[in-house]
Amino acid sequence: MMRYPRWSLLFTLPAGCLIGLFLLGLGQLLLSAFFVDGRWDASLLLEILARPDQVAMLVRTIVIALATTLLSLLLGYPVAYLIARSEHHRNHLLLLVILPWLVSVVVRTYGWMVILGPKGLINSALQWSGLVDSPLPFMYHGGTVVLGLVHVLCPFMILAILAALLKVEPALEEASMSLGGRPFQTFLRVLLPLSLPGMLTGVMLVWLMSVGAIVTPLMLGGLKDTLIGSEIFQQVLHFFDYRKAATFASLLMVVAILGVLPLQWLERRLSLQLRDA
Amino acid sequence: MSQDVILSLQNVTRRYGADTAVDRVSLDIQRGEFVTLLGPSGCGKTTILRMVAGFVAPTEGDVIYDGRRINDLPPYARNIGLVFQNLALFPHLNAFENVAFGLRLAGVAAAERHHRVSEMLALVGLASLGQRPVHQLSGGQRQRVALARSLVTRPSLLLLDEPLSALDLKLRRQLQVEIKRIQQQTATTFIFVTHDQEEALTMSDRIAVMNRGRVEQFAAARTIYQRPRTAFVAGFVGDTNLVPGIVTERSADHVCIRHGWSLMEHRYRLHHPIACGVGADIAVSVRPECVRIAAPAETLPCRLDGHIVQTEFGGPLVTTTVRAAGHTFTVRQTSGDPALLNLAPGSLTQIGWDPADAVIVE
Repeated sequence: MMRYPRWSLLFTLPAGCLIGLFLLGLGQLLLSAFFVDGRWDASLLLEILARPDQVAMLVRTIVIALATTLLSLLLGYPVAYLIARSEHHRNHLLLLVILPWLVSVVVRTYGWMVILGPKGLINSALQWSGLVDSPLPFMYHGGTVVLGLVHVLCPFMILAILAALLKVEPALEEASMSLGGRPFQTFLRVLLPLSLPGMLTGVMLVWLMSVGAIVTPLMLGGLKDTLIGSEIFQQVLHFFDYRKAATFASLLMVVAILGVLPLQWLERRLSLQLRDA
Repeated sequence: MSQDVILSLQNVTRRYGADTAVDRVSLDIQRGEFVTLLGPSGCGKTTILRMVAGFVAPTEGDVIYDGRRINDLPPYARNIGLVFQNLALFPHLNAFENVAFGLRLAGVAAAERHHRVSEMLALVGLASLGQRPVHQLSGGQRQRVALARSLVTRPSLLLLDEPLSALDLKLRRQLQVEIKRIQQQTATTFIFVTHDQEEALTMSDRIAVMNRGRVEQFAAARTIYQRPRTAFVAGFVGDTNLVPGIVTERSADHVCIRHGWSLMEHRYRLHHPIACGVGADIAVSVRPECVRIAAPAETLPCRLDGHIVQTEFGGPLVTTTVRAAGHTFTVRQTSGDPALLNLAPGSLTQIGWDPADAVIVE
């Protein structure tokens, strides 16, 4: 190991500042949620947890985030594999995955409104062909929110899995096949365990981003069946109830961390096991 | 064709676009044989191996394994073992689990699996290291794990793709002996790919020397060395002197050749059916150890004068470079040879050989 002189610790200063800033914001958030008139007060949190509609919103958020994560994983894995194993077109394919990031989330989500809205592409086509009389209610539906979120977040999943798959040499799959491994067995016993760290990273990323998503649920899900992210947005910008917003935000943080902690533990264990691979 | 042929390549060709990697190769490999595919990199030997393993499909021709055409059979249905150049051990499994992999896939019961893996680890000399993660094994140990992993499923044919190329010379020698022993002990047919001619000569029953996608000669190691069929084989397997000449007379199994430096004709035996009429240019391959120098050369029928360019002392053998009649000759004698005294660079000498020790090559 290289030894660094003591003054090189100065280089950690920028990182230290950033971490300090984050912690400051976090403290501020917790204070404004649970510190009322100079003393601790968790009554609002208990109030929220006692209301069935708020609990339902929390559950809805978790379900939609879970569905988004799972769907991104199922759709992203084959794409990542394809990119990892195509030697000649890897960069072109990668570009296709990253290209949507050049367009803002609002515009991309608006695209779905154009396609799925009551006067959108699909409904117009259906009505024109006479298959339906009145437009189908695609919009403001949980499934549509998942669709929009998968569209926005899937590239993160693809990139995370791709990073892991690129480290798996193709010869390992061939070795499995020469030992009698059918394609599915080879996937299960070689590819899956070796790409698991990447899958976990992707799952954590997509989970964190979808559980706190605001724009997509707001635009595609509407104001009736809100998610926690869009609820916080409303509390801050429409009702100016900062205490409630902060309480929701604390709840969101707990939900997000509960999802991530076991995954992080698993990932660390796996990467220790594969460190010299 | 003998009925004990385990693998037969029949006019197998593999093209990549305009490039022909393997060009009409036909080989019959006997059961239990140790065959080496020898050639420079890019000669098509690895492509042949991958076609036999099932990872590459032949563009033309047939691969017959155990009497069955397997061109379209996927790799996992062939039961042909393969040891990869970079070994391709599973990094997430320890040595024991690596070896057990094939048996697990085949659904072999735990007790038998354990027994067979232990037996195989003992065979390759790793009985005590089964629980080691792969990354804690040395190069030689990984090599043994790879060998054990591909032999545990008892394939009747094992392919080895330059498995020793990453090891240092001493370990290489040791593992060559080891691999040969394991091959005989398991009575498995081995096809070994290498570009190292010494490795090929010491290990193989038969060697197929390849060049530019074609098999130039397929014969026993001794025959390859002593009776090379082509100039390429003569030059690739061992050192040689290729001496040009013109055919002056031709019979069924002999040719008379006149070399450029004298009017004398020399009678050489033809070991291979080579197409060469009277008047054709041809080359004679003479191994450096068959060329005599100084006094011993004077009585030989085929001799010429030249001067010493340099001598190189290599322990048991001394290699002398001689320039004669516009050609450069390499001469190799044991270092105790009295003829080697007083051979200073620049001095005049005589070299010669017995046509019986030389081979006409294509």
